[in-house]
Amino acid sequence: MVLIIPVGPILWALVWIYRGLRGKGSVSGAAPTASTGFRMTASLGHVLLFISVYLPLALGMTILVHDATDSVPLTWLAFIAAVLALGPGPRWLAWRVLGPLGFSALGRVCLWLAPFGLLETFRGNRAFFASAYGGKPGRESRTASWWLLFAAALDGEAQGSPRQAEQLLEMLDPETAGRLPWRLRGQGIELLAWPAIERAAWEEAGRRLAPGHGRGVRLLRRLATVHGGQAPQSAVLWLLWLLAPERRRTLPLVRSALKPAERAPGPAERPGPRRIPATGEDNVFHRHLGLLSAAAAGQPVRPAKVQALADRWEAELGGDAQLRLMIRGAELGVADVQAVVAAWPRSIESELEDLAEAAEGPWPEPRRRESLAAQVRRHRLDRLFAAVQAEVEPFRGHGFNDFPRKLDTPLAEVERWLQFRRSLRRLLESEAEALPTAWHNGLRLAACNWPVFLLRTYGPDAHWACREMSRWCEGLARQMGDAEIAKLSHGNARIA
Amino acid sequence: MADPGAECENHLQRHLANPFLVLELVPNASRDELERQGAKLLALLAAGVGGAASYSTPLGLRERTSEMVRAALAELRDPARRLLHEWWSRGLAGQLPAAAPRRSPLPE
Repeated sequence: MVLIIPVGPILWALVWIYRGLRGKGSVSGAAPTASTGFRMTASLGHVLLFISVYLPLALGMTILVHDATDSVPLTWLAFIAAVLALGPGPRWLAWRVLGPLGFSALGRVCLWLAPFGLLETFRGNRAFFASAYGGKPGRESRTASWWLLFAAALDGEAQGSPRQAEQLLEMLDPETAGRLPWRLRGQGIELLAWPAIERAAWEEAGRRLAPGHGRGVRLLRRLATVHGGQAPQSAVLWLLWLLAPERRRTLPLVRSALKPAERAPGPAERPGPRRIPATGEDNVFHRHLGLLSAAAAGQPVRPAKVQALADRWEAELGGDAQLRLMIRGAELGVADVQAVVAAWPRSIESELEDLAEAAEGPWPEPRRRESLAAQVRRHRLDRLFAAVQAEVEPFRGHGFNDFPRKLDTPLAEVERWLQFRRSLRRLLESEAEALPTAWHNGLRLAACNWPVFLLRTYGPDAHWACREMSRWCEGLARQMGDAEIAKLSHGNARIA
Repeated sequence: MADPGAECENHLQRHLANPFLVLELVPNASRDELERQGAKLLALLAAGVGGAASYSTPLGLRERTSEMVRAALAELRDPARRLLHEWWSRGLAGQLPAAAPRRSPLPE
């Protein structure tokens, strides 16, 4: 009999049982300034499985090794190897082997059998695995967590909508990305980047991979830079490939990266956005179609390009063109030709406004303030400001008890909050001085109270959401020098 | 706020379904020419002639269906709508006199 007592694992198990019991009894409707202790709920079934099956199994294997070798170092080594094989082993098998090979049902079984400490992590793993490799998601609709946001992003991609992925990336600044669960920061980010890689949208893939971490992410990031035009260093690339997981899937990408002639087609050659023949490149109509095509394909559209297009249209829609249209309209027998021709520039302006809506990046005010470009930019800012105010308005003059809006599930509210946050970010990118106005116009109330109301409505299901939303609010309050809100939000983030 | 990508896709599809592109006719085609071309394309599509099933656009070939041909003819029967389709069609074909652009300084 081995006289080695695995104190660590036993203590770990006891702590999680304690946390589990406290988590189950944790309070809903918490006041924003009161501590409610542990919020995490342990996955008791898994902890019991670990204690009653895996730990004895590991001990049994250790005993066998000890009896066979009579060496203490080897016995310890065997114990550690057994714990690792029975602990992270099934998860690795599910995520890195069975899922990618298409054995999703087996992968799900492995995830069931893998010992998880937290119930949230177990459910999140299941939901995200189902989104990544197929199967019934089994999603807890009320809760919000990183896992479920990643799952929603992959589901959106599968349905051809990158909106959820964009929202998620909005949230992943370097500080926030550091708080991602380990699996998500590595494989989660890889899975988020794969749809872009498969479209050969390497710039987009690089952007998605930026907050990631790990061997797989490092390889894909390097591939994105090489396919983006940077000179490849073959030894480094092969080394990264060797160290990375899912080598079979990435091998063709490494090979094509090292042979420029075989590189994946660049954005100009792939199906979307479709490309206009070079002969008409300078034509404003063709430029218009080119930008619409890029925006429709989810490609980045720079404000400078929209502004240049608006300038071209302004010249094109001038008096001569209107006169020609009126003459031609009269030839065709158009009734009230003046009204038709007068309404015509508005249709172009409306399309420019939609293009401006899709544009990403700072857009300083054009020098000619009455130009078409300036009008389009102003309209964009008005829409963004309206989108922010629409979310702020219910919080103005209302407390939790008379809050006029029915709060949706935490996950839906987080998605809504991300959209709000994106609108605010885009507004401030082009009009930084809008922040003080918006802040004192109710933004401070919305940013601070939204997570608190959510927490009071949903309790533990909204803990993660409240924490992330309050952290963001705290950063904004510090930027504004609003010590009161910063302190409140700091407290709220700690409570949740 | 509506999805701007979807809105842009709608605008793009509308421009690529310009009746003059669908019917492969010049913008100053007469009413008779339009009707004849429409009837010819409908007959070819009904007969399953391969060449009739697609048409050229500035963004490459696109699928052509009988419904699109009928919709194009209906659009061009309305003079006000024809006027705007003509203008776009001329613009895409580079047949409009170029205007000198008035530039605002571009953002950095």
